[in-house]
Amino acid sequence: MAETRALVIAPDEASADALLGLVPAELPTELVVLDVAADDLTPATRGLPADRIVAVPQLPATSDAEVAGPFLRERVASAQLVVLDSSQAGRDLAGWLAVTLDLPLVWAIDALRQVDGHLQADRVVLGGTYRLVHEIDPGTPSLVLGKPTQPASAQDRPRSAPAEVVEETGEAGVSRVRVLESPDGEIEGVPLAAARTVLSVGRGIGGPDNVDLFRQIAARAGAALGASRVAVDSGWVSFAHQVGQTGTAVAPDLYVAFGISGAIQHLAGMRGSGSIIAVNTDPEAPMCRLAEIVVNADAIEVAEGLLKRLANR
Amino acid sequence: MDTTTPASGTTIAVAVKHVPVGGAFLRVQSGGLTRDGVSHGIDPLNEVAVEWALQAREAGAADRVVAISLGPPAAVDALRRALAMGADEAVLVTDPTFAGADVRATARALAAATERSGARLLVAGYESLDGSSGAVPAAVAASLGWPLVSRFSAGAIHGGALRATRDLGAGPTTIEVDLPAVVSIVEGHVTPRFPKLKDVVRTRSVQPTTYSGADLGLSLPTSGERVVDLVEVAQPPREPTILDLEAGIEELFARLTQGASRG
Ligand SMILES: Cc1cc2nc3c(=O)[nH]c(=O)nc-3n(C[C@H](O)[C@H](O)[C@H](O)COP(=O)(O)OP(=O)(O)OC[C@H]3O[C@@H](n4cnc5c(N)ncnc54)[C@H](O)[C@@H]3O)c2cc1C
Ligand SMILES: Nc1ncnc2c1ncn2[C@@H]1O[C@H](COP(=O)(O)O)[C@@H](O)[C@H]1O
Repeated sequence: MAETRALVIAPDEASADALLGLVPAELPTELVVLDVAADDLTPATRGLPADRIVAVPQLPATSDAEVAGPFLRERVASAQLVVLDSSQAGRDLAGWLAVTLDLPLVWAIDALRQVDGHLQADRVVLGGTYRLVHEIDPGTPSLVLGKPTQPASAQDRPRSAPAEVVEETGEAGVSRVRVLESPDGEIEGVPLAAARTVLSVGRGIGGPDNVDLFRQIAARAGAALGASRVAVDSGWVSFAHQVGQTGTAVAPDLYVAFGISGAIQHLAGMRGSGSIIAVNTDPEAPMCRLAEIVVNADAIEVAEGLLKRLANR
Repeated sequence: MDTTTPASGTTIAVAVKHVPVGGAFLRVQSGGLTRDGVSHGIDPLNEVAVEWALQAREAGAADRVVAISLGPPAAVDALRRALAMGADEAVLVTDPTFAGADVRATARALAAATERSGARLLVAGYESLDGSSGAVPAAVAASLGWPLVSRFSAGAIHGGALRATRDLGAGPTTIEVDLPAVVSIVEGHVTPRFPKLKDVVRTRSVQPTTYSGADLGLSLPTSGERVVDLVEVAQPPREPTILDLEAGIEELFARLTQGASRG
């Protein structure tokens, strides 16, 4: 039987670490990282447990599927397990590849393992109370949209040799979507994927004017700023900050939720966190049931006190 | 408004999914997951898509809105909701062999039905309520060979092109795409109308145009993957420590600075 080869397609280096953490350690693995030149890869990325790392500077992380797809299709066609991230661009690329290469697709996968030569993929359902186990036919290449919970760098993975690092350019597709106006500047702060500390805000922080307080705390604590969908849909913070089923999946050592109720779709993106602290005026909120510590107080009062403490450190 | 291309003749299709609503998306029944016994209805996000299409029609940018669904015969409920809101026609793709259709099969069926409808724009939701892949719109676009604009919040059709705002994570971006195209919409900007009672009554017994897989020339791909087990995850009972304002600030301060000194 042909050896199972895994291919991980990551939109950035943090996601590369996170997604690689899903791949069964024994599989030979090629890692493609978009939007970065080989020379700019961090030592941490170079040290990840992959056999080969392919840097693709020409493709931005949010490339349209019809741009990234043609570039990646050969590589995808020759792998047996293809792991992509669950961002919108990742889902779009997966949908394009599924139809173009006629491949099955499984999604919201938080664990992959090999059992007697079969690949099994777990999807958490019903708010984390059950896992649905998929079995993928041997020899059938398949696409996996990952919801990683433990980055490769946080696992103790044996490595035989350092990864071979290459940079590739090639034939990408042309997008038929014309960009007329794009936001200026980068998303500020620590990226969510693979952040070790995440500080998230929800409806309970009251409004857009209060977001800055939390940005300042996050900056001082070296934490990434996360948000619930309510905070995103209300326009308080941009979609890049959304944690959850539709947003980014995170599994930091510490997750602090300010004024977030803990809807199933939010928990889907953070339930794998090491410690959870909920700051909520309602100690009965679902988030408080998951938390190790509940701060039963007003989110803004807590944030103001905390920022003062951090500033006087 | 651009008048170089007359709007007349433009059909917008809207992909509406019949999903479990009201919290419980699935139930465990004899060791498997089932949708039986869970109440179903149109995905609320698809009502947003229908509303956007109706507003485009009312603005004169289209003259026909067709709601399309793939699902069991009961999915007609979702289509009737779209009709009651004001959609002109409804199409149901239903076929027992499509039960459990994967992303590829779903996309091909929706693509074929979209083509039949004569639409030049297919509006979908960015993700289904029942925790699906969120990959169907892209897969439909690939099947049709049309460009995809995902996660748009607002937009209008002008002279054969759609101009819209979307956010893929880098912030709101204004884009333009020539039709035909597939787009997926997010919540937050368009509020669906509530159908009038008389329209609900009027559409209650309307039968949609119905296609089987064979009618559309489709055969299901061998899926390549199947669900083999449903495992209950043990939920360790957690007794959280409850802190008040002062103690909470101290605890957070300690935890956050501990993290900072480590890394
Ligand atoms: C298909 C689909 C996908 C979704 N994807 C996501 C996703 O990716 N991410 C996501 O987050 N959501 C997602 N949602 C939405 C989700 O269902 C919830 O609506 C959302 O997470 C709720 O956000 P929230 O906790 O900020 O608001 P709420 O549920 O309104 O909770 C606010 C909380 O703040 C507390 N509070 C109020 N005042 C204060 C105060 N002064 N101080 C402290 N606490 C206070 C309240 O007690 C409450 O617990 C999705 C929904 C669907 C249908
Ligand atoms: N069976 C279906 N019938 C009609 N539309 C669907 C179906 N499945 C998915 N869609 C459309 O695709 C969007 C995203 O769904 P999904 O990719 O399954 O999460 C939905 O909001 C619908 O617009």
